[in-house]
Amino acid sequence: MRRILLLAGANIRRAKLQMGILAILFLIAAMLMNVGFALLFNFGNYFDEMAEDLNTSDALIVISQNLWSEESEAYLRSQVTEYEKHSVVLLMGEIPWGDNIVNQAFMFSDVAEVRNFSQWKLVGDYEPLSANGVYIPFGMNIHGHELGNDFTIATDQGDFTFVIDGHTESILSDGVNTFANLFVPTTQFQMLYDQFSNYRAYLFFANGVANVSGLLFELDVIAGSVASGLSPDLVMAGITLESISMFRTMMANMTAMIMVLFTLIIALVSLFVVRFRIKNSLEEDIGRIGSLKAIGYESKQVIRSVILQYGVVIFIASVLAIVPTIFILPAIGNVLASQSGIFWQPGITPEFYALTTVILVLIVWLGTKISARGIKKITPVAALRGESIANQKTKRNRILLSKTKLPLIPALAGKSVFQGFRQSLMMFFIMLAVSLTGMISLVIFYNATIDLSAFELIPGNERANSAIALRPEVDHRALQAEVIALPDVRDAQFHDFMFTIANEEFVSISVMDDFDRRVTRNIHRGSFPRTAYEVAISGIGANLFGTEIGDVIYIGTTEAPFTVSGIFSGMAEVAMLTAEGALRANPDFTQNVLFIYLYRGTDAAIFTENLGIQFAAESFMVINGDAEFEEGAGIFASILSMVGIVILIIAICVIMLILYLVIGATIIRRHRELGIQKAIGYTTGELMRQISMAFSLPVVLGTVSGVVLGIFFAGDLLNVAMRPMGVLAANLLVNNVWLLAAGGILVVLAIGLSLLVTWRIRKISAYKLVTE
Amino acid sequence: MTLIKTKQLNKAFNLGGREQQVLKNLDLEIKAGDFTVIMGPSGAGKSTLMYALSGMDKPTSGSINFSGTEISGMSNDELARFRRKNCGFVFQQMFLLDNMSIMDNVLAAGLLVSNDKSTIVKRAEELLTSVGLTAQEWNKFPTQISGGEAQRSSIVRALINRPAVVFADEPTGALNSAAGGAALDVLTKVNNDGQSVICVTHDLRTANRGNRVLYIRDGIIQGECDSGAYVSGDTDRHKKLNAFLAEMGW
Repeated sequence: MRRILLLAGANIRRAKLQMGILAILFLIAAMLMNVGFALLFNFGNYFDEMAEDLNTSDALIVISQNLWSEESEAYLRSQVTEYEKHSVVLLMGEIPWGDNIVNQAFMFSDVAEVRNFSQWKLVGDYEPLSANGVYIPFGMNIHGHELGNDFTIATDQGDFTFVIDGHTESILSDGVNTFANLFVPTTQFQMLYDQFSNYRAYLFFANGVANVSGLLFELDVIAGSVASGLSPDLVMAGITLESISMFRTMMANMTAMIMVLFTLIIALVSLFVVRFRIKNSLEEDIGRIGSLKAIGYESKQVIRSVILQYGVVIFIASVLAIVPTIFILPAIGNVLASQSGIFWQPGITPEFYALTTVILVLIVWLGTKISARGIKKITPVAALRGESIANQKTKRNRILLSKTKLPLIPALAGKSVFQGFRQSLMMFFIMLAVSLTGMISLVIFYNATIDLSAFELIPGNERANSAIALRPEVDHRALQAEVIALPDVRDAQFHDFMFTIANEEFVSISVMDDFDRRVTRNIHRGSFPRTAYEVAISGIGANLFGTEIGDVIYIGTTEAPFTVSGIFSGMAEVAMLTAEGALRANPDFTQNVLFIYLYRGTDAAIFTENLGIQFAAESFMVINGDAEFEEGAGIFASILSMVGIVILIIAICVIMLILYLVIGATIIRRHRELGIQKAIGYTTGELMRQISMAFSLPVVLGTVSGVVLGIFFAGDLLNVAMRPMGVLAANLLVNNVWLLAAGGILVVLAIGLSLLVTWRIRKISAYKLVTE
Repeated sequence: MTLIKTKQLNKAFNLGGREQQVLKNLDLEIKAGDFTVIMGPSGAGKSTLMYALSGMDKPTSGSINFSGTEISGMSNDELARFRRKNCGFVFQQMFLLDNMSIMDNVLAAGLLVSNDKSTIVKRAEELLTSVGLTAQEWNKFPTQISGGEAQRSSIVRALINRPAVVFADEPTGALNSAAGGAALDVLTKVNNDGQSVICVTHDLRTANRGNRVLYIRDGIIQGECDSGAYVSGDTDRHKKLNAFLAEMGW
């Protein structure tokens, strides 16, 4: 063993630079793997463990006390295995959110109230709750609501200002796609409870709920079908742990998947590179191997020393990768927190570091095994003569200098490409894989940062610049006409959601007067519903019902038949009905929310503020749609743009490292050939051009192929990735100019680097060669 | 006519911090058309002298005038350009490019100097034929032909650009007797046609082909023998050379 160690140590010392580059490459791969594994396994587990630690119930149900009755309670009791009931005060209001203002449904609770189900905990620094203090969800911390700051909620009942004394973590009520539960002192809570008697609600944490939508539907029926999602005095809402979990971990899972996929590409590339490097080093060292065999070393000892040589370097790289991982993961956790609301600090995760190390060392082992097979066969004498361990196949003499029209240097470069065809092919595929990854990340970055128009369509939500939620007693049509007559308004139509039964499934249905006036054109096939007898269904809906265009589904309490007119892409609604159609499905359906579309250039914030003033008596809420949308899309955009740019940078670094490694190794391997050429009169510049041209061909072809595949298929690949989320066609913008420019930059960088690396040819001495 | 002239030529190597003077103030003239043989014991400086004269290596000091051009101060790239036009090389180990056919090995040198491909190809074919290589062998790789054939191919590569001098370093060192004789016949023939040859050797048979033999020891030319033009079977000439070498202590 000592001999093997000594051999491995000597080999590392002799190829310090090459081993160093290889170590950096593997350090990057190890770091990506550590991060990917932590996100993939730890983040989701952390969420599940937190949900378990907090004894989170299967579902949260919030119902205005105005809608509650003995009958409701009896029904609820019959539908769940256990539940816990709390009194809360509901307020809809606006709060600052970074540079924007957003609307949020707040749920005030008494901090002293004991919860058995769906508990909450304080995270980070916090203070004892002061008289005017409040504990707010942790997710808000990232958007400017830090410890000690004032926390002002602007509601139609006036502004309420508290002091932030701490941040909480909970699963079902932390404001991420659900209510934001605020905890105030008992006296403060009592004051709010007394002041807003109309906005009191019951908060239920229930277990054993078969179908929350169905439960809410029945409770709504019991209450007389008057619930409104937007009126704080008529709230009937619920959410399941499953859907919250999916929503809050979705970004992390997506990021993890991208990271792990990219890491797999890097690992595969590393396997190629290791194999290439080992094969080259064995060829370079064949004389030494011959000496070792001649003095009695066995082939397996030589092979083990090679495995040890690379294994040690890769092991050290994997261990060193722990340091950046420890710094990077909390930063990623912070970025994800804006969507997850989780204070995720994974700390040190030795199991993932070990897994990463094992995988990478296995790659080295495999690479060595494949490359070193020839060592066993070669005799000491043959090795001492410098014979190759590679199988001697009859070569074909490509690009005959006597026949080719190419100038001499390009012709010699072309010969090199064919003679090292497998290596050229390896370079081609490496460049293709890495540049395609770079192109995909660039598409993500472009859509998440530069032009969000396609990105905004992904959720499939209708986007209006402003909206107004009307009180039930208001003459809706008259008010709609009044709003349309306003100078800045281009169009206005009602857009509501209806929770009802469709083919025996409880679903959320989007209802509009005229879908052809809809801004979000997310129809994938067929058309939006145009008559009272048509329905459009989402991709998820199509799977759920097992239906296609032209099929009939039965919707609502009346089980009215509707013909499927189209399939749309989106993550939220399952179906779309016209207002007339909605009335066929549910005769009690009423329209409440008027979506307002403004002329280009109109400031939605000012318009919405004026709208609220003008129609204060008729509405209970106005919404700045632009701000809401930017805030919603902003979270996804900031995460994905970060992922995109990081992967792009890593892709470029990997390309540079690989080129450095491969070209460097090639020059070492071909030093005899280059020395001969120098002897017969080739200059360093001519040899540099010859080598860099030989590399440029697979590099340029690989990069161009990566760019072309990116241009034609990056969108499709991302579509496939998003399909499980219900996005049938993400239609992400693929900016060809950006991709071509990026490909051009990659090619220029690659050629520049190859020239830089080939500069070392100047050190090759013809004289040394002939006198050795 | 003087082809190469050196003045106070010195070459020293640094061997692990210790300077070793290999060539010592050499003043030497090589005439055009000569077959100059450099002999001497191992480590005497034979190859060092030859590679200094050919611009393959730079002297530590002194001047080398090659056909009227001072080459001792040239940069590596200037020397490379100089070599490609003025020098042809024949090495003991042949140093053919293994990844190219014989023809391409010759053309890789020829096309470096001339863009007139048809003329170069024609000359390559003529030369290869003249050294006894068939068209079938031109397209073989160096590993697919015999050592003698490879050496004759390398002579063709050395001649392709009509160099001022062909430098041969132990051209028969790796060959059997017959193959070595054939290679020497080629060199003798081209010399008879007017080609200057400078050859370093330990081999008496090779030395016998030269018309001028220089004997070098410890970096100094100890003596020289003007043995006249090579004539096959001329025993007197052979005896003269033997006597000279005996005098030199060979």
